[in-house]
Amino acid sequence: MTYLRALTQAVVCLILGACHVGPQIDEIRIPYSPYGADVSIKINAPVREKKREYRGELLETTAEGLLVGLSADSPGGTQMVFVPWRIIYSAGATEAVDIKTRVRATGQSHEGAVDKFRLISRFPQGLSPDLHDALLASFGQTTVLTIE
Amino acid sequence: VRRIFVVLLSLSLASCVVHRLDIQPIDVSGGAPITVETPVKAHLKDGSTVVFEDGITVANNIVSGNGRRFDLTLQSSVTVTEVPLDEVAAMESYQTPVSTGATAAASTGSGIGIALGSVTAIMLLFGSCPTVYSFDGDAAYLEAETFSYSIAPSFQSSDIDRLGIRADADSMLVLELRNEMLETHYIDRMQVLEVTHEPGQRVYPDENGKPLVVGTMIAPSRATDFLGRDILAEVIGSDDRFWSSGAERFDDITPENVLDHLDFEFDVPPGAKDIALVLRMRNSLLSTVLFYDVMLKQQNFKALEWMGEDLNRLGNKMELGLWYRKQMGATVSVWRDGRYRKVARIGDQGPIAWSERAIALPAGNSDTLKVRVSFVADAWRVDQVSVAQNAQRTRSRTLPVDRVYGPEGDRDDIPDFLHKSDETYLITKPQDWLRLSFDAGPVEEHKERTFFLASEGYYMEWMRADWLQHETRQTFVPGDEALLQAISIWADTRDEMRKQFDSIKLAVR
Repeated sequence: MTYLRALTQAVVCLILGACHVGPQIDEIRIPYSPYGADVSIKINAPVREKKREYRGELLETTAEGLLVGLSADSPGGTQMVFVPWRIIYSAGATEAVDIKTRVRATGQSHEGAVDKFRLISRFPQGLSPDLHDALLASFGQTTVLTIE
Repeated sequence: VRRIFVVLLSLSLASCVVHRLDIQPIDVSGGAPITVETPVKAHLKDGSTVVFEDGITVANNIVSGNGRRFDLTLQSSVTVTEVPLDEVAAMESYQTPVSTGATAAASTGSGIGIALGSVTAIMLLFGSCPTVYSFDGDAAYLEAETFSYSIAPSFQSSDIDRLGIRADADSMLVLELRNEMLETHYIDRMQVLEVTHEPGQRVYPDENGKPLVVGTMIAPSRATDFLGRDILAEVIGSDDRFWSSGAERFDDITPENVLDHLDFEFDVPPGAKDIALVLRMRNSLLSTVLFYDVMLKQQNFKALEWMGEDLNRLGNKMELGLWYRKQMGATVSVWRDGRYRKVARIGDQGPIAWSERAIALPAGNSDTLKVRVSFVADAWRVDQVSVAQNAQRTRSRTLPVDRVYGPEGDRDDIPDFLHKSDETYLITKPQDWLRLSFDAGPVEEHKERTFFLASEGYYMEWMRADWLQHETRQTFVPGDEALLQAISIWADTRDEMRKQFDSIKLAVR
């Protein structure tokens, strides 16, 4: 088989195989799971200092910040924490969803970013005080730790 | 071998389909029945979550579907088939629509002209698309309509438009991007290109979007249309007067007589060299009729599948693209050796903004230059035609978006979406607007500069209610019959169509 023929056959196979890039819906967890999206949050730090990173399930998004159920590999381990927008350097979903933001120096989140993050939260409708407390209890906590 | 491989590779990459997850809140406030066939999550007021893997139907204040209801802590779940709507606090749907083209372009765009050629060969134009304005005080000036030929993800393409705007006192250019139609716009790249040139020179994009700097302009000495009528007054200046075919043209349309042509003669000074034809044109709404009334309306609901899936298949894309390219656009020919010989083809430019293009013409040996521009009947409006001397290729400098400002203030996240063709898109909905700032810096001393808007993306038309009520449902088949059908509809609606088109334009504020 000549080099040209081999190349041609390989490319024709690609064409016929209908190349797909990116996830198909059946391959993504979020639409089929009651959990919120997994997110990664980096905290502001002085230049040249390593930024702390927190990972976990996004529970609630408000204009003030993100309520997150931290995963075990985050600093402090599994717990429910609140991360104010004002200390966030960047935040983004870690699975499939192209939702990310870099927070401005003023510490305010973008209105558009809040809406997007709300959509991938476990509770996009927000948590009433009673529901908030019940959820907190499920983490074995009585108060939410606010990351500073 | 390498060229053949590049062609095959470009074809394979052009067929790539990029999926991304799209999450949309479901609005049930209107009370109308809703059916969603993709996964839905319903968030109930008691904190529980219901996952409907196969979608839902909302009717009579009941959300129905095969669901699993999880309690607040996700410790337990039960199967449900119905949830009263008044228990629901919020719902959203999940889809993975395709956004193809970006990956292909990124993979093949570097130094492979033949590959890009195969992609541009199947560009389309139809209707509306993103519009771009500049401002003088409160007055908005339409500068460009971008990638108006890209009606589906697989038809993503790039576009170049000449801008009239000049840099302000701070060397900034401010443009407003608007979505004024019932469409979703997916904008992959938006940049300004700057060309610095001598005072008195002008710069235009050629038929492939490459900048061409030209010198002295020469108006035509004679201009006639396909019936031999004198049209010089319509095409000699950039003003309110422009040429169009005239309603009587449609009395004589047959499959064999579907083209119009315009003939121009120019008295070229002895010794003139590097001549270019400069055209200021825009499309009529014939392409829009072809798209709205023939392709979409007659397919009814099937049009959604056609735009979202069928057109992403390589065979369908090639068939439609090649047919459209053959039929539409405009052909520029020059009189040589007793007949007109084709020198270039200009793709459709859109029906909203006037577009300027410069076409380099081959050297001649006569003092009179005869040029013909031909196209499907009444497909173009022609405002100005001239030739220019000393046409030369030139280089441009790219200015990325520096700042984006929208209704909610600064949007620092958006510039990154627009800097290059990749897998991130700025997505706009009807009535969205954003102001984009570009930092041009100071101009060189004793020089002038001209700016162009370079854009890339695609748009998806929203199906109108009356289109979905059309009594026939037939698959669109590219061919003479479709074109004649579009011309027939256009002939009957031509006078009113512009008003209708303008009337469906949405206010952005």
